[in-house]
Amino acid sequence: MPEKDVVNPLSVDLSDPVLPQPCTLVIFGGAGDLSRRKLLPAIYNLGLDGLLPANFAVLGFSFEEMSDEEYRVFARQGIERFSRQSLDEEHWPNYQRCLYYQQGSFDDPEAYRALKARLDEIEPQCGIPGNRIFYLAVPPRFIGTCARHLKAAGLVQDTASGGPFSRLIVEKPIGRDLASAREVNEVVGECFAEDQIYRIDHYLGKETVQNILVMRFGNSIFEPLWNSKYIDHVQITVSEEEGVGTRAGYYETAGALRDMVQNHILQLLSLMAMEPPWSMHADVIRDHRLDVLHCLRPIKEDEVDRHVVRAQYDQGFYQGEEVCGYRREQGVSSDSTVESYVALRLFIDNWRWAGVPFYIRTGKRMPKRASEIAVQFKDVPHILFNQDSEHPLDANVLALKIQPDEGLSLRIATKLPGARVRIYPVKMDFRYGSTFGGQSPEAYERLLLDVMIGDATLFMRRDAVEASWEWIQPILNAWESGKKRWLPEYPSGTWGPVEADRMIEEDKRRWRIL
Amino acid sequence: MAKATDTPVPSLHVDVADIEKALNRLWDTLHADDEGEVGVTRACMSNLIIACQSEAQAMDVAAGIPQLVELHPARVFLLTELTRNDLSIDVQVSAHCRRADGGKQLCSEHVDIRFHPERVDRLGSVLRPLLIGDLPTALWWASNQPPPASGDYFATLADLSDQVIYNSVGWPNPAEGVRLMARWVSSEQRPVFNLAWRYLKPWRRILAQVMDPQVAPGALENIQQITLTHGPHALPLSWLLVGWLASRLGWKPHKGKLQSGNKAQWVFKANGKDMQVEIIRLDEGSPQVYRLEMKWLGPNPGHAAFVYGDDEWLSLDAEHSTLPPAEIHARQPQKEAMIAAQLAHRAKDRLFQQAVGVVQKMGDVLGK
Repeated sequence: MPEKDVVNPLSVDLSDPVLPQPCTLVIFGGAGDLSRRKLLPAIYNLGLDGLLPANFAVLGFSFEEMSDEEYRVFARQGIERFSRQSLDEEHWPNYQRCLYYQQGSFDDPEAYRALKARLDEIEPQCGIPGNRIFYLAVPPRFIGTCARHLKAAGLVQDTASGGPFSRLIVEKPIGRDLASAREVNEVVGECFAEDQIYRIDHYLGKETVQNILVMRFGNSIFEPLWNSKYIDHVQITVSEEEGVGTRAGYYETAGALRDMVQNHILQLLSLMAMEPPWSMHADVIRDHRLDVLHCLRPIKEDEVDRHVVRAQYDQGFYQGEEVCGYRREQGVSSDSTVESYVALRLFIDNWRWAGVPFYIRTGKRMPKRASEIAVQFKDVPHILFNQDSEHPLDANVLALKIQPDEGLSLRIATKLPGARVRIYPVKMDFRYGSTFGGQSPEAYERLLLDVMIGDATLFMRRDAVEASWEWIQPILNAWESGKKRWLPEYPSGTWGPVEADRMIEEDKRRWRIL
Repeated sequence: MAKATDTPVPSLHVDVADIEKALNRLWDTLHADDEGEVGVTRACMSNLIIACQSEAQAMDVAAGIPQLVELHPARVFLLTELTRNDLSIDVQVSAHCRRADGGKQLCSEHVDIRFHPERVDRLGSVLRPLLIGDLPTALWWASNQPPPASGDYFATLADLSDQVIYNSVGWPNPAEGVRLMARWVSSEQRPVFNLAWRYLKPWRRILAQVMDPQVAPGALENIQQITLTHGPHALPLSWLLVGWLASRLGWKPHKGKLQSGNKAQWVFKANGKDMQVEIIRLDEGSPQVYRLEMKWLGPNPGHAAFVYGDDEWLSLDAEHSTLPPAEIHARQPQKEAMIAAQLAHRAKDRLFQQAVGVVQKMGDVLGK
């Protein structure tokens, strides 16, 4: 809920529980790639769908020299190329009127004073009563700097003041290990109250991710089976077909564990494994997600090699074309030991999940782009239809597909038509794209609207960020102290290294072919 | 996402008793035609019964069905009441198909049923076995007569449905229709929905945001006068908008009178004070609300005029407002998109019901 509940009987609407209040969105890094590809198109789509507040403005803030007019051209190009809905010439003049730009350096205090003056000039013209959202689409090293300068320039309203709101959106990564994450959170926390901070993970804005809760707690058939008594294991896969591409600079400082596991995958895991919340209130959901992170069995440094496999892609083929290995990518050090692939086996030590292994894998240059959570149920007893130990029945699998085709499928055994009893696995498939008509909004649309409304359910809280780093840290420490010069390799266009296959096969299980 | 292109599937004339078989044959044909391709999927979220009262109306509705089923896949029954010599029930089946990404064909079934008014009593027996179980059934009353004025035809179809959707815009006798419908809606248990409510959504959004106490402190509780101007056939929209404001702000209709053929006035009681509402119909224009002016007193007196422009933006008229400028995009959605959106909302809308309750009282006090 917003910091200040304003009594407005007209704002109650059953189809839109809370209307966004008038506000300005200030995008730090407004002339950057995220802004062009995602944020400005998302705002445009919200406007086109009539979901933006009636009094609204966007102010791009970056070090590039640009006029308001040039920023509008920049936004238009981004929308033409990346928007879900094509640019509507009739709508454009009204949309672009709310776009402004302010040049400034993120570490220059004077720039923040100028920013404040610009906001004070724009907002009365637009009928905005000082509500502001600051989106930090900036390199991680600037997060603390921006927060401090915003505070020093008087741009942060106190939550308790009852006046206009100030909210801060922070992009991942929050730190690159536990210590730096704490440091970032500390600095940001000195300038903004926790309920003003929205740590964004765009995965949580995806329909299927939100559907995890609906599927689990809106259907009576799944939840009774959602425990160690019926579930054999869970696999979470996030595969990408592309290499590091233009992100080599960042990726060399991160790797797959930091880039994907610490945030996206642990968030998916916590939604999938959490206990039933007693309310849909943001902090109740976030408390329950945090509980899962607290229950992750720590991997001791001397156990890392047993439970974690890291690797790099080698040369191979991508869509029929030969591609180079990770160490040969532009911007990547020729002796890099940064992992482009990681596979883990982990356990959640609570009553529900006791003894159920969770297998996680993520990597680049895999055969296709796919994200899914697959729940494999236990085998049926070895009587009746499952007597042949050499050809056991395929277990039931419930797969929640997150991208690219959002939906879910259930594999069940059926009898093949004919006189004999022959059993064949069939897949019941539900896809958002073919079941529901129309287009789903992009994750950023949903998340930006949530911030305008003040709903933090789909954002990460400080304690959750730090809990996930706490669990990851021993793995980073073990890798750091191991000082390996070579990592296992897998040919580009394959599902990962043999070491990862061995890890899961030790448990008499196999990775799914997606 | 699936592409919007619609692949025509020839329609087949069939006997009433053979409709389900014909639909099955249709699927066999589609699968056979798709041999070697990636497959055909029956896409279906609902049963949708559409009721028309003339051939022209049915043709108009039929043209939008491909778009409707793309947005909300459904088994569609298009019913047309025809006065002719032939008493038989005429049925055709077909499908609307489109290719989704990956090449898969997604198809929705379409059953056309034409019947003589004397055969209305048989419609239930035709439709009941064809409704797909475990899926909701909605009735879209596409006729321009208020549903309760259509007797058995409406009653029969409503009995089969979990939800009734109608559109009060364009009724020939709107004042009478609004009163009739308000009475019916207030006594109805299943979700009933007027498309006019969706047309008004941008109005409700801008009023809620611009009149917010943060933007216009003290305005909502001190409104003294409202003047609303609408185009021809949009009287039900105007009444509903006033009904919504009144229900949310606690105004009670006290008395009302028709000033002339195109003007009506009400006095509402609000916080013990009188509040004036005037609704004016323009002789020309399209069926929508064009302008809403309001004045308020209290510690921060002011006024605002909201205008719906040809450019589909709903904005404050700066010259006639004391509030800062505001605007929202108010693109009028196509009818099919609104029906599809409504089919997905299966719960009763309490706010709509309350607004209709006030509309009923506005009708009751008119002439008092």
